[in-house]
Amino acid sequence: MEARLALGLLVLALYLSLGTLLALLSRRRLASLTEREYYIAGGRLGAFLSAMTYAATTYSAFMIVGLVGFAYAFGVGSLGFELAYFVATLALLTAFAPRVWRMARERGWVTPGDMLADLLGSRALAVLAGLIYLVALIPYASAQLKGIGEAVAGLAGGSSDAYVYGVALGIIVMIVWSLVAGIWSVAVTDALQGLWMIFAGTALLAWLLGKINGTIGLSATADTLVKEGLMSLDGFWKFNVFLAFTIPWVFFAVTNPQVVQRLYMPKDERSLAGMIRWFGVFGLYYTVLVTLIGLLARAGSISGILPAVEDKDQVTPTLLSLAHPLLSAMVFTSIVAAAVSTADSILLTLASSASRDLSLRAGERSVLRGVISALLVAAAMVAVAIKRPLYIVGLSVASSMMLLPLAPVTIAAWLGKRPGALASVVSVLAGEAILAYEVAELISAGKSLKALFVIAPWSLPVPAWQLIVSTAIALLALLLKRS
Amino acid sequence: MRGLTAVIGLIALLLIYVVPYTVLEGGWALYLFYVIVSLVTLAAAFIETGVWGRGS
Repeated sequence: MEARLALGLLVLALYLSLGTLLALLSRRRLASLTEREYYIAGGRLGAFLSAMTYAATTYSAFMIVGLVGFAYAFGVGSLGFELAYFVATLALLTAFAPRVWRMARERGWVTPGDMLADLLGSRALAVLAGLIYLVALIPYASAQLKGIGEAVAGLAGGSSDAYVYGVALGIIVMIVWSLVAGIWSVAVTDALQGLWMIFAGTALLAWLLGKINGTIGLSATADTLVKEGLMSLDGFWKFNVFLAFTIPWVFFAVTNPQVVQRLYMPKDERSLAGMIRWFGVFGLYYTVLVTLIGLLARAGSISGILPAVEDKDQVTPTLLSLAHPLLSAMVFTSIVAAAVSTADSILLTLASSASRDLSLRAGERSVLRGVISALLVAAAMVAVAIKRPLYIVGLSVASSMMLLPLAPVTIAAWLGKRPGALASVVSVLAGEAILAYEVAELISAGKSLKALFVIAPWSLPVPAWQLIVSTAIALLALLLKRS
Repeated sequence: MRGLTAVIGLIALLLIYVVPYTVLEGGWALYLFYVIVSLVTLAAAFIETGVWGRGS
């Protein structure tokens, strides 16, 4: 245990040192302290950095911890859920990214709020979007911070002091890596983190494959998974549940500000194309990889060569406790990397949104104001994470649904349609109201917010209702304007 | 080629929602199905974006 802890911390320290060195070196790329340069690299990112920062920001610690556990517990539907996101994102990016990228350059957008205010002619919508981003993404980023705390605590045998040290370490790394050179330090460290995630995940899969092939054999493993019902959607993945999980994720590329902002960053169209292509390669490979790890681990548990795991979030930690200490240290570091790469991107995006979208006077906008906003957001993240609250998982789960009502008006704007300022705000608020009502119902019934994905009022899941109502209001407004 | 990935991606998404609940009831064929529709969408994205920035 001592040797495993020491090696884990040593590899993590080496990784963090390398990342910090890269972040400091990236300051050379920061041409000036303007908001465009600090938040979107002045639109000068090449294909490699664009792709890696898009992928590392998108794929959080949820993949190597959460999705492995999902595949372990609920089988092949977990792959379908994540690949529904994947194909939708490729479709949305190829359809809209060139237009958004071009307009961002022509009109000087820095935040998604700038885009919404400009295209929909509503400053109120930018303020509303900025508030939704804060409410939705602070718990989501705090969950990443909590994940780092839990990972460090797990390595130290569950010590609560270690949890606090883990949270402190996580927030310091996020602040340094996101603020030392703005998006330049985020993008460069994201590239390192993305490569590390792929390398460590591949090594874990190879170890698991070797272990299974050397005992029960791959053919018997495949049969076991089919026999145990893990290769079908019976059980957990009822159609409504699948819809509830996938609808918010299908629109992730449209609603999440940290990825929308990345469409402004490539230096030319070829870099934008490269970003989409290599994000696609990364995403498909990483998704197949982590779901295979979960499925193989389950087959191992069924066959008795691995212990059975009750809590699906403990599948990866259990594998790490059995793997070679060096492999364990590499994967542990990749979990921290995935959490940091998602959370520091969110931190910088929220800082830009808070300082620009929520600023009442344009003259007050500055990088310094953004840095102060980032520190306030970081303080809020720590305040939430340090209490180790159980509701944080529920809130981060709800975050994807909080952002969903932004999808119809954003897509309308990208298509060059303007439902009007009031209708746009009402469309978003209606979707939020549906979510707020269902959350209040669950809380009053004493249920977890995770049930948001399982309940189906009037036979449809909550995200479907949000999408239908928000879209209907936007469409109605467009029809009324035309008539 | 413009719109190729959007069309194929939409079809792929539709198939992901429909096929596993109707035609394919499970097994490794379902796993392969998910991977293949994703690979086809990725291939479409490679084809479509391949001409971006080349003055087409």
